[in-house]
Amino acid sequence: MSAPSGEGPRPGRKEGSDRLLIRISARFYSTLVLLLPPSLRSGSEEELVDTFVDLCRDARRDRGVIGIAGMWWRAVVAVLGDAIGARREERRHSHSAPRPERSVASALETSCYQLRQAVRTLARHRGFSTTVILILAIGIGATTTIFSVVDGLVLKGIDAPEADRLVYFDQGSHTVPEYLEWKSSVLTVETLVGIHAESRDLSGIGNPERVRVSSVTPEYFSLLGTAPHHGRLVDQSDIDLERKVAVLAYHLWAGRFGADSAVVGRVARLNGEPHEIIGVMRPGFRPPVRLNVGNVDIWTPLILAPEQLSDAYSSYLRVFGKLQDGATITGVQGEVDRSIIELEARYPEEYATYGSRGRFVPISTLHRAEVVTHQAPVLTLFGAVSFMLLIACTTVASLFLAWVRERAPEVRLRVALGASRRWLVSQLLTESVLLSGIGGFIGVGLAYVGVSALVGAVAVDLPGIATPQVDGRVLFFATLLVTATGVGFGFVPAALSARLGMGPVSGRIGTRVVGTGARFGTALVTTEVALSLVLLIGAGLLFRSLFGLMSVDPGFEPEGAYAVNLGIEAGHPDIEQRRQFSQRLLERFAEMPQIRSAAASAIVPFMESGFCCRRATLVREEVGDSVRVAFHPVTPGFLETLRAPLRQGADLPGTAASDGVVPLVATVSTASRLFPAGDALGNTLSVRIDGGVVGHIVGVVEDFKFFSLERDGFTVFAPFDPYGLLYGHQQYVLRTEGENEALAGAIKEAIQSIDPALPVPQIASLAEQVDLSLLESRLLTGAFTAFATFALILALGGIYGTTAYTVARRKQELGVRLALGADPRRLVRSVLLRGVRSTVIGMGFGLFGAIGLSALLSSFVFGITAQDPPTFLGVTLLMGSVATLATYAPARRAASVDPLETLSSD
Amino acid sequence: MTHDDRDGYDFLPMNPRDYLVLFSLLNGDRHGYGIVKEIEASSGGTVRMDPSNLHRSLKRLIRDGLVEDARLDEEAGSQSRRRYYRITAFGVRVVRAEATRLAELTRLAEQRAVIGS
Repeated sequence: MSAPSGEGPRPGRKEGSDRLLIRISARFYSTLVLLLPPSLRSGSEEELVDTFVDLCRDARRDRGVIGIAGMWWRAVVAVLGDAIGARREERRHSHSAPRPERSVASALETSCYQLRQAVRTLARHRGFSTTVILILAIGIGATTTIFSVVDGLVLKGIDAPEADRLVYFDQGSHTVPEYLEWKSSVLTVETLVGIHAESRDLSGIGNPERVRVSSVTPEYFSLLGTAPHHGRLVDQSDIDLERKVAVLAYHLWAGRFGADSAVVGRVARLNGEPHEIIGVMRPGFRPPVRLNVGNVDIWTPLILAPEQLSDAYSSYLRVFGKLQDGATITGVQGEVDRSIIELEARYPEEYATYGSRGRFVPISTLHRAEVVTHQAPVLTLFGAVSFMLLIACTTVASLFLAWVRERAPEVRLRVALGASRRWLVSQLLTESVLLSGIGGFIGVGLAYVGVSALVGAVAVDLPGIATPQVDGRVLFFATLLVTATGVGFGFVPAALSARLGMGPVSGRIGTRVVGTGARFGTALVTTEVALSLVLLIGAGLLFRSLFGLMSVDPGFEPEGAYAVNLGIEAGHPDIEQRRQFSQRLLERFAEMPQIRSAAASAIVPFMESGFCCRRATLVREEVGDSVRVAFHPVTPGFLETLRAPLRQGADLPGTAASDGVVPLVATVSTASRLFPAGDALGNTLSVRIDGGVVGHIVGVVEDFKFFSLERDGFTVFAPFDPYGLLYGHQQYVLRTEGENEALAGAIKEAIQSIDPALPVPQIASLAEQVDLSLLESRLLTGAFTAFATFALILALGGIYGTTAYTVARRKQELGVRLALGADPRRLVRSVLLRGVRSTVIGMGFGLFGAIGLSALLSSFVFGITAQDPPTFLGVTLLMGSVATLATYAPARRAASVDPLETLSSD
Repeated sequence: MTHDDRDGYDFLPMNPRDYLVLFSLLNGDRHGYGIVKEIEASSGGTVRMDPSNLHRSLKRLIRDGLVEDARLDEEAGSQSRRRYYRITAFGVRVVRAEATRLAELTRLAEQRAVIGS
């Protein structure tokens, strides 16, 4: 029987497996007994399991594993039999009145019956059901869509290991000395990465092409947690001025190089310099948008030439890093602030350009920096959609209430026929849950469609952020919403109706007018008015701010203007060659009949060139005032070609004057910032750029938006020669005569007649570029138009319906009054006043709510204050008049009530 | 509540399982496992009860006053978690009545030669 001791390892192992088997059996049985009704098992679970375990031990001993299997099988059969038998027995023995609902089977039967009943009822009231289902579906669908996108963009964030430890050094770009100083002195940051993003010409393999290159320090790849698809990524050994290497982005490799793995090891040229291709990035890697200009086609190691190490003028490095374990953002900020004081002492000249407040580099998490770009619009949408859901809920609630009231006679009849209150409530709940279920189901379907549509439209240029999609949590969110609305909307009306059902089968005049129901209805009207007003004011504010943004004047006329982006550094290494190239190209353009005017510029507005504008500081020595500006070298005719209106003075001359004085055209806000008296024209000031020159303001031009319609900045234009010739990037703006299909071909020909080795240029319509910059706002406006329209219809329908219903309910009372000789006009007035009173009270609450809400909205509103008086006033007036109209129509109907008919009907 | 004045015949015919459980307790107090083993032994291994069957029976028998909890009276040393059950005087009467009824049935069956004696 029992194994004798000292028989070697075998019995020990057997004992072990036995113990495990017994433990599993115990777990199995303790789960199984949960099937027993609580009355049978409560307090005895342990005893039951103990007994089972004892029996299992016996069975194991006597018959082995087969015995245990037999025990399990018997247990399942026995417990199931007992579970059913005990319930039946309990029912037989209970001394209270029979309650069939308590049995599972009969409860199921009742539910099925009620479900069938609910389906029949809802099918009979098709108008009501369809309306409720549609409102819920759109409400839930839109909310789920927006929630999914918010979840993807704002909550989920960056796709990198330990993404919460990645910190971003904000405020655009930084100089090399800054990067080096931070690398050595900011100890709270474990690893620091510098990135220089720019466009270069790719040649050597296939046709020349302009590509976007990110030069990065090697830690870039480990911090963003990426891996090569082929070959390897950049490492420390690649920091070598002699042997340059490059990593291809997957899309470039798959497209241009035809996914040929033999490309690794070959040599391509970037701006003419040979680079060995050492690897291909894994597919799907999209670095955070803050770290590049647009997308990335090629990665190269960041190699700093000796002269760059002390250049504290040029900011072109984007910087991010990884926090030391346990370090905080505040800690990093402190160290960075101190380091800047150091730098200011070392480079007083350069840092003087930041003015009296000095340089400030805000530190934030990379995730935060990343989402901040998209946060405001996305959250605004989320707010709007939440409002919409709120009003959808209110409308559905009031529809349910009105519906339940309408069914009061039916309910009374059922009560009279012996339906229990419990049964009534559960029937009404079944109906509302069924409706919400269908609405929610359609809503989730809509959400799937909506998310993919929205992702397709918006997420195109959101690299680095996990692509939003409907996921389990969002479905849970939707399900929760459905259940909450179903039970919430069902329960209150159901409880109310149960009370209504207690009345007599045939209502008397008095009981219909006074009572909780009527008061509840008025309260609902008031609530709905309040909510609608809050929503409408919120929507109005957002609308106004968006339209304001869309009507911003970029400062030039983008229609009919085109930009040509060229990189000529390869074949034109020195200034003289570049000067000749641009002169010849402009001459060729001038000969082309379809081009009305053309000009060259280092960068063109709204074009992603990968080359950031240079910065300079203008100083008025006599008053000691200075301002940091964007410094744009352009050829004469640039402003004219873009139709940027000159306010004062004249256009720039072709080159800087020989006496070293640089002619400048300043934008209006730059001029008035330095010369508040408006006497900028003809004045001179010193320009801190390239060691410092003297500037002479020859013209003042309308404010000019270079990057987006939202951003304002100080800008001056300077002669293209020599400032635009320092680098190999040249962009040309053209204004054409009408639409021209053959323009691209003609331009290409013109360029290649000068330098056949140049890649095919990109030609972009400026109008399209400006449009593209508004894409987000447009989408937002589109989505808002949809939401606000839906909400407005719901709100108006709700007010009209509820008010009309309240009035209709008084029909009999009005009939009696008319019969007793009341003046119809006075009756109409009294009805109207009663309705308007609740509207006014509701609007009062609504205004309070809207003021509270506008505080929350203030960060999402552009261009206007969150308490914008025209919006508040306009929306309130609109609301008031609509509510009055909604009350007036039924009120008029009330005056034409036929007393005889109403009296005889009761 | 005392059951002694009740008529044991009210509970006839008995559920065979209840009868076997009561029967197993006639020779002394037992815990669940003991009852199952006793029934198995006395039936020659043909009746094997699952703990849940037994428990349901016991619940019923305790409710009707045929069996009582004996744990407080006779705790069996180290087996602290074992609950002992004891048949009540009323339970004994009911077993007796059921046994008599069954004996009567058996006698009838034997008389008509349905089963051999």
